[in-house]
Amino acid sequence: MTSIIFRQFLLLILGLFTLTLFTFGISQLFPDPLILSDAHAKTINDSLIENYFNYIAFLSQGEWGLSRISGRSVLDEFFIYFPATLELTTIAIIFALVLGLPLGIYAAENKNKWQDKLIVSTTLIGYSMPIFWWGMLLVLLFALTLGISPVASRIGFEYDILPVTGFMLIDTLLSDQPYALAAFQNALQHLVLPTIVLGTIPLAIFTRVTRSAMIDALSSDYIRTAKAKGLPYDRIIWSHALRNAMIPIVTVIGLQISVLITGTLITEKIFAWPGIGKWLLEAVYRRDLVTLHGGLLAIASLVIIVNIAVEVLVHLVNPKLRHKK
Amino acid sequence: MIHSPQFYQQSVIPSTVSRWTNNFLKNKLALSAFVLLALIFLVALFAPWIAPYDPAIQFENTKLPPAWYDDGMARHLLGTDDLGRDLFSRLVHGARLSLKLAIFVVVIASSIGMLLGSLSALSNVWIDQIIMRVMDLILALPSLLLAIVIVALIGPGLPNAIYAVAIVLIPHFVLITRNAIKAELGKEYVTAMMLDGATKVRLFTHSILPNILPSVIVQITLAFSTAVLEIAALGFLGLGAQAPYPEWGTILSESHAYITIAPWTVALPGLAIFFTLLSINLVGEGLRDAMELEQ
Amino acid sequence: MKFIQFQISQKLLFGLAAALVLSSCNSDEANKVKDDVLVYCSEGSPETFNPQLSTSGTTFDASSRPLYNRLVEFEPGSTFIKPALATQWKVSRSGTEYTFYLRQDVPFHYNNNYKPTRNFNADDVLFSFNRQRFNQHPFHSVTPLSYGYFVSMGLGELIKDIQKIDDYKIKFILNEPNSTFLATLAMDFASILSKEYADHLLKQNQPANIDIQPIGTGPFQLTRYQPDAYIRYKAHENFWGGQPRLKNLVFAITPDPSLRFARTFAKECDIMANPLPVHIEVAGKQTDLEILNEAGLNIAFLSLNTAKTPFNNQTVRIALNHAINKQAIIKKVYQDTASVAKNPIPPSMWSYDNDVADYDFDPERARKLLASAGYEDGFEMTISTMSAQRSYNPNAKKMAQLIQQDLKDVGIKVTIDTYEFGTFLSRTRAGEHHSALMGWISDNGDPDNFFTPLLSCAAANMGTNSSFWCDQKFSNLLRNARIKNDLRSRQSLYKQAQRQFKIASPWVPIAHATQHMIVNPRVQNFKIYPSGGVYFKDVFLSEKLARVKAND
Repeated sequence: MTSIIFRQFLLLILGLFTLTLFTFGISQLFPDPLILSDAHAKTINDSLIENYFNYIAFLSQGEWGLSRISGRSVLDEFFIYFPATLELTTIAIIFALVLGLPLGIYAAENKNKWQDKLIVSTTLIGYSMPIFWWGMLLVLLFALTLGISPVASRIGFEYDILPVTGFMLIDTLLSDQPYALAAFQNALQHLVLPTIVLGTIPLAIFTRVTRSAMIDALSSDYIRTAKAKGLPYDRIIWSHALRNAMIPIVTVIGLQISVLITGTLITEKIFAWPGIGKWLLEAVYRRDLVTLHGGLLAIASLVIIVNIAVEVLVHLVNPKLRHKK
Repeated sequence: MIHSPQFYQQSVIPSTVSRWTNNFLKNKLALSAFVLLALIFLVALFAPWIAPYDPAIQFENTKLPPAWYDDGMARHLLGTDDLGRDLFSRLVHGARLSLKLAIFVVVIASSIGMLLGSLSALSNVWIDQIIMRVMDLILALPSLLLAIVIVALIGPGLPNAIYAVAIVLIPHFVLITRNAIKAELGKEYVTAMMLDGATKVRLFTHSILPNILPSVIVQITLAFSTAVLEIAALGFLGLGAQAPYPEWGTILSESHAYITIAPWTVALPGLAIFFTLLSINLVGEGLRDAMELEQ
Repeated sequence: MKFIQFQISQKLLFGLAAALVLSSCNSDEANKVKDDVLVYCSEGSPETFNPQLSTSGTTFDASSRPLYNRLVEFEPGSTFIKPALATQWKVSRSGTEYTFYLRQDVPFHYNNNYKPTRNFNADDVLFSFNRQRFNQHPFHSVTPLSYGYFVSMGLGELIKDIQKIDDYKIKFILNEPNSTFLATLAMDFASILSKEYADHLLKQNQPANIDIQPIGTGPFQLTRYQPDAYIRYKAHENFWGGQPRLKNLVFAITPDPSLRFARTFAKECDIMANPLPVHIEVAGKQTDLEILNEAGLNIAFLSLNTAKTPFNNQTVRIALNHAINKQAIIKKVYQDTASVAKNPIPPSMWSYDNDVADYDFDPERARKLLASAGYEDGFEMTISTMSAQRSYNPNAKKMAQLIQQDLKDVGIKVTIDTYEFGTFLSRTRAGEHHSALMGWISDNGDPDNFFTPLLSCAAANMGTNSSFWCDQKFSNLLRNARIKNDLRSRQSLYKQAQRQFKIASPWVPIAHATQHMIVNPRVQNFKIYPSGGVYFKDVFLSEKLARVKAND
């Protein structure tokens, strides 16, 4: 077990090392805009290796440069915008799991019946949906035509909420304004459409993975044994089959981080969601390479860390791997 | 399989490809998706003959609804956009553009990917490690984010967007090729062939290539669908094809403003992207199933 | 038993539907909150909260107009100058000395970091102008932006000295008489900042905060700003002009016009800036939205960079004037809400010369002119545009595409480069463009405010003259017109300038747009003005509509 954790830790270090080599390479190719600070500029000399170590030193001190637009530290800005993205992606993953797991199980139970076919083809539709178009359609229908959903942003402009944690659902509850509860409800309403848009593709993927993992699990010997023993159906599904099916599901959730961030870029643009995606797009439109450099570094590190963490988690969950040397 | 009176029993063993084809043909959904995809390809191929007008020509009638509406006109089947350009012609030319670009992307990504994959599998540990770590890195970067960073560095526009999408697609091909070759090299028949004095080229074309073909084909359809989607997404974000290219994502973002007054200018390009993606994905799914049945 | 999972997902679907339904029922609480807040959907983030450092209307809307005052100000909607922080003024006979008598009892804003201990006085005026005048001033370079108006209008050379006579009396001494000086002081960049606040920040060693957390004397004070999301203001209860009727004001920053309209349509915004023509069409059919319009003092034009080939060739520039179909642009980009432009100033401005003949739309003639200039096979050019829309140009990208088609017909191959607004401005100022779709809105209703910043040699050095066309004789003519005091001779000089402009043709003038705003009827007393800009001091929200809603 410890050897596995050690191996994954090594991979993590190696991953972060390649990442910084890559961003360092970019900063060498486009040197002018990517000097992190005056102090950093002074350290630059002819030796590439020295430059690289200085670059790492500045990064690890939190010197990620100043945004060309706002003049604020890029790392500070990342933490200003990140909670909005984290809130949305977390809710979207919960949405996809809460809907995808039962749908996948249900499809697996009814393998090759019409219910299964319906679910499988619906997931293919969801999977093929260009989400920028999907978002426009949902806004047109629910916000503009029916008027039952807000159009965009995290909360109505009439609510003045002090950003404490950056998570709107928490900040509204922490607020000492008399309308805190109404604001919380309003923030929830603002989450509905973005969650659906961002969660559609993960939902399709989770449903499919759950389905095939459950089909594998249900046809295995131990389930047949359990059935033969006369265990209640519910218990077979939830405590035996699902537990084993969880391994591929957890792996896939880990892989979704990258997909979700791609989706965030588009969802945040459509719903004017003030998160990382909108921040980075704005930086692209304004050619703010310092912000892009910082954003890329932060997000890629995050993805690498999450992937490794999932890998470790899978090893912990999976008894076969847990006992392997 | 008895065809005619025979002197002794003879069984015809169908080739792998024909078995795949048979399996695929049995899957009605995949088959109809294939027909749809073929149709889209034909439209793209013959776009200049199918499209009634040049996609850039601006007519007097702007925001004309499709012909089946009361105030539509027969000569503009799907209506016109806000500049009076014929939407049908733009979508047809858009199919040509989108598919052409996606094919180009997939060809680049798959050839570079397979080359790197073979290199990785057949070279020493160090080169292998370097290639694999770089691929891990690209996989860790969200595809669209990497694409917009590349576009930001080298400027917006079609060619840059294309390179960006191609780079993002390379790692999967590398992984598949590398792992398959590694697996094959360890097998006994390969060792036997090597003992027989087979050249590396012969080894590659006769034993390795046929074995990695199924996974590469599936990966190509996956990559193709990703390429179409990503090119459209970059167009939608204003970082891909620039006006007046009739690229589907670009058309969509340009007509966003007219969603309440001319919804068809938003609905139709979106439908075009959606059906293209759906048919590619269904075909890919069908292919995978057909090949899996064999194994 | 077997359907238990199905029931779970049914419950979820129900929950989802409930969440959507929730949004349809507005609680009384939510309504009451809305009653106190006016939401203005603006077109972009301000570059800074210091109007001295900007030339963009978006920045002025967010800074000088709600937050600050000038010594003198325009009566909104006219060029008539009224007292503001100065109650009266005297001009010496020579026309070079202006003495201002300052208003007393004008309190400044306060925030968490700063509470003023004194009211406005002459030190603040001195500080505000000296910051712009002197390179050595401790606040001159705290923010890396340039003093666009101050420099391009040549105020550094014009102002000889500013003398504080006593706390409430200040004297400006000029190097030469200038007929537009009072109007200049009424412009946004001449806003008055607090000297005491500046000293306070200097002590805290955070001088740059003066432009980020502004303290002014205006009707509203800034409470919170999130770039690219919102700006929140609250009423300045001690405002010298009387307490504003609005309690809270929010700018919802929404650069995407479709989203801006969607927010207005869904009543999330009360006022929508710069609607696209198509939005006016939709809003016109809506009984619960009002459309305000006003012929704008503005111009949209294609600026040809005369520092680059082939636009250094006058014949080529005239050929382009013949090749572009302005009428089609008016129809397709403005949907007939604009008029064709031929001069650099709009028709409703005094001294406009209607006798100037425009170049007809005549591709044949354009081709001939190009051939005579040695470009019978045409050439390649780039048009730079901005992605943001402005009141003078609802869709620059679309306009560029129309021009691209027109020029293709005369053999010119056009590439379109689109940039975000800030990038676009800095590129054109640096002269990196080949040609650019530009525009201008009047700041003070004076023709000089078009000619000097857009077409003079001084402005070519500053970069606001985007065609970099510098004709010394033309610049001298503008200078003569500026120092003359009688309207008649100024008028004839400006007419002369329009004719010379037409011959040189550094631009293709395209359109004068009508300005529009879409407004929720609960907004009372809101007006739009020919020179652009939004003012909220006298605006209020009627409670009638909200009450009707609360009752049902």
